[in-house]
Amino acid sequence: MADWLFLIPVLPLLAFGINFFFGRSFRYQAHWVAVPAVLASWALSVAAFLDIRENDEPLSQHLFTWIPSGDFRVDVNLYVDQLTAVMLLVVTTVGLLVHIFSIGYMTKVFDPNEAAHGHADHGAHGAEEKDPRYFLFFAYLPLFVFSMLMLVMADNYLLMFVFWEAVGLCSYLLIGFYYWRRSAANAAKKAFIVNRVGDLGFGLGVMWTFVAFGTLAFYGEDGVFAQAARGVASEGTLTGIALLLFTGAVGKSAQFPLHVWLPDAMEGPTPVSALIHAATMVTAGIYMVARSHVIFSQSTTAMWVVSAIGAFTAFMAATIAITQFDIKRVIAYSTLSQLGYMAFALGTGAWIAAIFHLMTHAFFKGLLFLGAGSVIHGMHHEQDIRNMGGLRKQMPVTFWTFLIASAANAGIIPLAGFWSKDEIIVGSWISEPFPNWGKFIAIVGLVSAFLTSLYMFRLVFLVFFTRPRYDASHLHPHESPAVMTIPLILLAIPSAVIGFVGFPPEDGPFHHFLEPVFSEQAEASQEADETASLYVVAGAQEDGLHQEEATEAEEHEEGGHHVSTRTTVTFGIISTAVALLGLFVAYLTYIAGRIDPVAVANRYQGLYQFLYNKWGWDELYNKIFVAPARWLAMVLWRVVDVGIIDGAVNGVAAGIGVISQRLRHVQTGLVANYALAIALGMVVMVGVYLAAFSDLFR
Amino acid sequence: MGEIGVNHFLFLSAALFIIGMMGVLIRRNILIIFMCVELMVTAANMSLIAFGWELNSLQGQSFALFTIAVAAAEAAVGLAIIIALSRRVRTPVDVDEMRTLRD
Repeated sequence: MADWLFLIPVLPLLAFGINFFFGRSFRYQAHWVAVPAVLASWALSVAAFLDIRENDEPLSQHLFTWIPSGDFRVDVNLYVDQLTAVMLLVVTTVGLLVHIFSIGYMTKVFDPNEAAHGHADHGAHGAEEKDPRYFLFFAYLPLFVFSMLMLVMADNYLLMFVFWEAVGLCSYLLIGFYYWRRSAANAAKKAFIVNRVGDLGFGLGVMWTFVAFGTLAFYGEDGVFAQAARGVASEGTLTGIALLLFTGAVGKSAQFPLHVWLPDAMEGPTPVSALIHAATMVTAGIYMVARSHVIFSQSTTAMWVVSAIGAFTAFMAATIAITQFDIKRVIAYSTLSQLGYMAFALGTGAWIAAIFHLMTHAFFKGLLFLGAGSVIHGMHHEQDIRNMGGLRKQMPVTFWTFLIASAANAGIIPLAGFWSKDEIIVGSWISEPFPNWGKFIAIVGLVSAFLTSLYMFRLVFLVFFTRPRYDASHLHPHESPAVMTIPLILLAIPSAVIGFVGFPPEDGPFHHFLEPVFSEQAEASQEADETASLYVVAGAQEDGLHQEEATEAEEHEEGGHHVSTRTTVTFGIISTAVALLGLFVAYLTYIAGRIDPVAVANRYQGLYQFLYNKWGWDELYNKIFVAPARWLAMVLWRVVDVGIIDGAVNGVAAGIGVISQRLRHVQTGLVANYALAIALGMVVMVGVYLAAFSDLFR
Repeated sequence: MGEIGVNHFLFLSAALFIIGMMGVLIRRNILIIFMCVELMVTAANMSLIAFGWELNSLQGQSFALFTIAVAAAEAAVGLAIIIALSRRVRTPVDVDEMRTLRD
């Protein structure tokens, strides 16, 4: 029992309320509301984390019963276990630093020239014009933090779904923050609509969960996971539920078929990209799958699908990232790729490795985006890396922090990304559910790691090294103010060293901390039959300590899931070699000039165009979804709306007009005519009466 | 010829009514139309009285008395309108020439 838990999400909500309704009156001081709220939230999250680490017991708080309806009962409970505690720390830490960074970044209008064209309120005063919607940004950002915190603290699927949608809404609002730019408005719509596709699957999955288990609560005696571990539902049902839930994760975490929204989401302000589209919201899908690991681990099909989609996304996004020129897009595709890593880690049963990578990625990718924001800020809103170069002299702090983040992303030892990525690759190599498939995925992961290193250092070299390619006489890049560089430095520290919480690999403090979440099913599964034992395997490979439990089941004696030190070290060396190879190729290409990128692009023109056009998914979707939808909309508009609905209304009106035109001739004004009509009417009435009701004519 | 019965009165009433109706339909002079209307009212009265007489009831006669009273009132109003009209038109009043109630 911890009755202060509610403060963690409520404080940012309060900040949202204050800034949203009264922010107009304190305009450029709005961050004084938002930042302390998130800071307090961060402090409480740390307290929750320490409490759990101390007592090894989940915290929970019952707030109120939301839907009491017969058998269907939904409570609004906050639940913080080890997994949630990690998410809380990630969300509030990155959230806090992004809030601080935004103070510096958001005071100026994003693009005064463009804003002047489209937006009458701005412009004409040049670059120093302040953004009058500053306070609104500091309302939406805490709203997002609130929604994200509630998402990870939810103790049932419905509550999670509600805040799953809420973070989607915040994402929409913030991508479209500069809504007067058409591309931003379109990107916001695209993100929202593509996410709806995934959310439909998630919603159906939640419903099916209720049908199968009669409850939506995660934990407790009759919670979904306890029942799933007891084998209440058939494997087919679990597969169906898992695949539908994963559809939601595919949308939110931007995995392959629904990945198209994330690169476009870069239209939003850069701090938003850092917080929502790199560090936190896009990892909600990973978190959800990890939370539902009991369901997933019992379905080989679902696990296979998750790993296949993850591996494909990791590879595809990495290839695209090499060819892009927009600094934010390169990082966005890198995010896609890293999310793919997390997904295939989940799919191969390396749950803790996925969460580990989620955490390290949140820090170094948040830092990369903030660094990119700093560069864009310093370059006066230039985003094309072809027009940068040599910035390390003008922007030393940004350069060093960006370099650390890039190296962490590329998996250079000993930075954070190395440990987590290496663990994912080892995890899939030794994956018990799919011995051969896992090895294939591990190789895909290594290839993608090479590409990752290549595109990260391509970015670093093109932006910070070489000679300047911008017009130095007009453009004077400058280092960002302290309010922006301090968050960079603060994020650089965890990006560099957080990997050591997972040291030694598979057996670090991080693994021991998270172990209870992913192993509590292991004991239950020992009594259960072999469907559940799949989980044991997954749990076993996570942690050496788990070996005793795993070996109790004979089949595990055969070995193969044991992570030997030799495997770990071998893969550590391979990963490092691969990453350094990528670095070396990037060096040869962009600094030493041994390889001419233009010549390579010309030589493999087809391949280059294919990658440059992002594998053509946007065009394909345009053809098979957008165009038919447009056509249907045209039909509905021109035929159904204008033709049938408007036609009916207008037709009635016109018909009455025509009939009236005819009828007006009846009113002649001649008394004789009226009299004749009356007389004839009377004659007819009397005639009918006599003919029908009297016996006069019979 | 036998006893005079209710049918005789009714035939007379019908004849009067049709004569009045034909007058209303055919004539143009407003005064004559007016008189024909009175004729139709009289025909109706006559059939009321005939039925009252046949059924040994005073209801028919009292109905007729009311009708006569109403007809008198109507006649007063109608004549007033005709006089008002003839003051403006100065010619024998023709209903076909008065097609609007406006000036």
